Amino acid sequence: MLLNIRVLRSIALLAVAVTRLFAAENVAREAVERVRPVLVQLRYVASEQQALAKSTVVATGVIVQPEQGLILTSTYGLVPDPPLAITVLDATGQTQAAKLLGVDHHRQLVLLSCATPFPPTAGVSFANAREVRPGQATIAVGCVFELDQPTISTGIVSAVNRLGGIAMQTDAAVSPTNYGGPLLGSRGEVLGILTPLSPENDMRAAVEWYDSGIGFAVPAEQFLPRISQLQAGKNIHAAQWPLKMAKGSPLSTPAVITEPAELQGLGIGDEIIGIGGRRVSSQWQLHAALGAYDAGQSVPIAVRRKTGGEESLMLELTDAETKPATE
Amino acid sequence: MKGAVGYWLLAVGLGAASFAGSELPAQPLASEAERIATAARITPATIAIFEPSGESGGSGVLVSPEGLALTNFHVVAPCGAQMKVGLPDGRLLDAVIVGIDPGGDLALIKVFADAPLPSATWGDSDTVQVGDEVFVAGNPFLLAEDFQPSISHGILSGIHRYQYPAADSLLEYTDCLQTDAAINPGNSGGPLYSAAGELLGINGRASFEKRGRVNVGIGYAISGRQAQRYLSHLASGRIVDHATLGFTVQSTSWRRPIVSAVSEELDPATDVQLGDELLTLAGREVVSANDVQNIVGTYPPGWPLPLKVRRGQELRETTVKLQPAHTTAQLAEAIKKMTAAEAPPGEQPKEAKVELPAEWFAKQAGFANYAFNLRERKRVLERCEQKLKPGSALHFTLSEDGELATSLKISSDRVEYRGPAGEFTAEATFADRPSSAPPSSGGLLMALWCAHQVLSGGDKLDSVEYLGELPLFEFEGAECDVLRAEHRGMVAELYFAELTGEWVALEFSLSAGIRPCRIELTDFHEVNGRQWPHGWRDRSGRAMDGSQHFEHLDIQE
Amino acid sequence: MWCRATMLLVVCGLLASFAQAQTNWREISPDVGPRIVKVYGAGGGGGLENYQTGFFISAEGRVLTVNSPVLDTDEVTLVTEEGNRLTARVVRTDPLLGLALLQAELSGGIAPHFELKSEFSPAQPGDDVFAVSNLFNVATGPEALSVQRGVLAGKAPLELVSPFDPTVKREQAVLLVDVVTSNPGAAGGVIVSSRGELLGMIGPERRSRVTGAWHNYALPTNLLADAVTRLEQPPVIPTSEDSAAQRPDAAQLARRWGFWLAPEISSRTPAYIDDVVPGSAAELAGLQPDDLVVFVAETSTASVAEALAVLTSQREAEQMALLVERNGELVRITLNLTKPE
Repeated sequence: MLLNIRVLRSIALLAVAVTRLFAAENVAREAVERVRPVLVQLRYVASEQQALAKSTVVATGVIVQPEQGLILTSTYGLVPDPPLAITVLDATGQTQAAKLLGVDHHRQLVLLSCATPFPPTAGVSFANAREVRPGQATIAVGCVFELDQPTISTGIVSAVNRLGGIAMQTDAAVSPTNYGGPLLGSRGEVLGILTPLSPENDMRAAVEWYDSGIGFAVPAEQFLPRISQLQAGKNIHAAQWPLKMAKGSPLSTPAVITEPAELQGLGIGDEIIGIGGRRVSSQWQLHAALGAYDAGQSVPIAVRRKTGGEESLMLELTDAETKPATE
Repeated sequence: MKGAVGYWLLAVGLGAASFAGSELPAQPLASEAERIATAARITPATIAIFEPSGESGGSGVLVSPEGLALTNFHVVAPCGAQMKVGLPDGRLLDAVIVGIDPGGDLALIKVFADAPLPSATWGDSDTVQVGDEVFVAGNPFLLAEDFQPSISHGILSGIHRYQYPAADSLLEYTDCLQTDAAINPGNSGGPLYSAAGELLGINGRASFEKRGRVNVGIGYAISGRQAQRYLSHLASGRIVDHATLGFTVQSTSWRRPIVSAVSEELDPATDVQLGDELLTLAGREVVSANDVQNIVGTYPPGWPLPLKVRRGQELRETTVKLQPAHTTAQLAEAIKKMTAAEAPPGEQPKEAKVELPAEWFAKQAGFANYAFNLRERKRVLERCEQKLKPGSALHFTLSEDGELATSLKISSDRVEYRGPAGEFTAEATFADRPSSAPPSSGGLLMALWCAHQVLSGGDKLDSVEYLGELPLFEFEGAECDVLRAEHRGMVAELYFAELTGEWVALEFSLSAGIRPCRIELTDFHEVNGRQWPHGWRDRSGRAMDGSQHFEHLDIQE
Repeated sequence: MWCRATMLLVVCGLLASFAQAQTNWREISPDVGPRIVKVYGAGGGGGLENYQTGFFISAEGRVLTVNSPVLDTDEVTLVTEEGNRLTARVVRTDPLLGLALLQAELSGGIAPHFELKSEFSPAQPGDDVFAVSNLFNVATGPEALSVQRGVLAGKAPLELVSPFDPTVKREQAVLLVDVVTSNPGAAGGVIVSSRGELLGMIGPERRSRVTGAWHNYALPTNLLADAVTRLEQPPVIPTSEDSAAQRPDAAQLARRWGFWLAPEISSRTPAYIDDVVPGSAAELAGLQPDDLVVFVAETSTASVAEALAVLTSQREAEQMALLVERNGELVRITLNLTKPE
């Protein structure tokens, strides 16, 4: 019996030793190692007129398509005034110029392209956004100082499906130091691309939030399907709701149309009760559901007619600039 | 290069699988799994609170299945009596104000739901230490369109912190918890949780600087202990005040704080004099005036705090019953100012109209929602075995050697006592001053009459209200629900054991400055199928008989 | 039975090691806490704080902190976490890193202190760190300073992070952390590892020269150690030759390399080539008017001013590598003064 206890104790001690050995490895560093091949350091040479405080902006980018030389980064330093020149330093030490292909203003992402393809970057993978859980570890990565020594900030996933579902939220420090860089999970998988998002998508407000414990990353499900559109030079904007609705607290007021008199088959007095398959009972819910859509997208709408009866129809969403004039 | 994009799309699907077999440090992943579990555990009770127009809002935490939720006073100040509450399950529910604590920045609201709601589990904020891991949940910048809270993670950066009141405000954070977990505008009123997901405090403040109102790693939470002590007081529907010791202390550089002034409000039973050196309060050492305020601020008025003083060479221990720091009028004025400060600049805070039945909302001076005081009074009396029918009378007797030695009759218009100390009567309708009989009792007979009125639901008293829970006469005393009656300057407080509902004690003061009478009820026996006390023990340290026992009780109903 | 007992013990062992995944501030704070002091001095009005942080670096009471207006007074007060108040005076200040060395009047006894090591910190990005400081003067009473936890975010060249003296060599780095240390009163505080080792001192609030954002950084221990060694030696009177370095004017550049940069209208004028001298090294190398110079000798140049600064530092060079942007392409140009034979 005495012997047994000794054996047990040594087994326990061994267990402690083994876990400590594992603990000596650093999850964040390991994760960053996995994405190093896709990290690029971007330099934007600004025109003199540009309203930025700095004449050069250094930012982080992620190679999303090595064969075609495609890089995804955030709008930070690129919007509203595009720079005079963009240079890209990649993990192999090559520097080349890049072109701005398209801007996703809705997600604050920009697609850049380089003439020379990048080496293959197998081994980097994206997380399935549906499996991301609040509380799970996050590692935000940027490389504005040294490409070969990325900066790391860590935190947790604060929430998923933010801003209409286009982004997840983290409390890791997110700032110009890592905008455009990847947000990683503890296994080195890319959870999303860090961008300066905010509810009203007011770029200034968003940048002011840096390091506040509220950072956003756009997951692959959101940006991959839009790469071909950006590659074709088509910019993306957030959808705006084209109709005026009954006054009152958005929390409790139903989405009853008051203007214009007629638009795409909708009229005054009609109530929107569903959008994109989601039931909505208030203007608050309507706007929350709308947050997922881009201008130009058509979305199925469920409507309760003023005259009674429910119908479904497709509504084409517009952005602020192309919004139809209302009387 | 066709299909290259497809390659990435595929990677999305395979992402989780491709690392499944890779070796990873076991320990950090285990703690990651714990954090995911904690985040899931703390989410359901975290709520988003909106002013009905949806223009402003904050956070809150459900603390009872009946839908009572704690938040900050400054979150509900712009709301008026009603607010909207978003639950993480997506529901938007109506809520009503219950009670407010403008000095401690707490408020209690009631969320209306047709089924029990999830509620947080309390942790012990007294045993936390600097460096402990914590979680913050809430609705910063009102980001939660779907009412899913934002969760941030960090450690306790400091404990027992003191945050000075702002100008023109009662608001003061005493003995609060400091954390580096992100707390931003909108997080106000939301919960601070331990690593295990137990409620440690209510977030309310942060230090902001050059960058404007965004988190810079310094947030403060009202401690859970303070919130727990105030909870029942808030549930009373009152505008809850903070307390004063009844004396002030001054910091000294060479000694402990010195008692520098003694006011009329000081509990007459407290043995404190000008010039005493204060060593400990509520079991904690104090070295400065701030230390003292840091402790006093966490207890509601009425709480008995033990203290140790040095007078010359002598050490003395005594207990002080905390007194309200403000009058009802002062509180109302301060609330007006603070509410205006929370309103958008240039706008007058609007007097929102209330669309609730009287059973859920009633206006009354000194109350945030009088309907809840009525509810609590009813609750306390209904579970109390010593409840009396209106007009009933109690007759206590004690015989010695076959002779009637002592008799005490209590009815709705007088109390008569006959015994070794003499014969005394206290009339309910006194002409000038209430009876202080028996001598040096502090007005025991009037006290018993007041108690009779409260227990029988009589209508002769000026006011009766539910105060909240207080410990029975001592710091470590049993938690009791307290009903407070006022009548022509007299104050009677009836203590009901929180555990059993039984009426267990009575405190009475004839008028301010007169040493109160405190008796604990004893000798419970069954009468007419219910337990009735047949005696009392004096707890006020008076010269009068320490205790009284009766043999027999006759109840005429 | 045996099985169950094994399980139990193994679980205990695992739990013991999980407990270490929790922060170990409780274990290290008794050592670390007493070494750090709140520093009170001049200020307190007009938006200037009168408080900051410092820490003991010797048993005799030497204290390191940042040089700031708080020290513009004959005596400063140091307050330990236990509430002990000490008087201190400034021994010397270091203009290079913005440090100040103080001497505290110890009433007997020795000061608990950090040993400054002259090696660069072995800590790596991703390692857990604690930042301890008197931020916002929250800890007004006899209480411990504020502790924040985070990770070492990385390292950045000193010159990129803060406008310190440009003569400080580029390879010297500061430590970046992912906790917000850019707060009033935090400067002079410490960054320690999870084992309580001193990694660096929180520097004054500065905006990054790269991102414009407020930076959360610390001056690493090796820089501090060098500075303290410097400060403990008798002062050296600087010679006037050290400041002889001057920027070449446009004409000098044209004479040496054969190109004119655009006139410097503002500090942010982009480094466009205005003209190229026929037959010069620039023309031979293929430099053309309207080329935008984005790199000079591996250093990025966003403006005429920056380009001139690099050319100054390379004024003895016989070769000069430029990277220019021309019609959306990057072109590498090497200017060569040594004529090929």
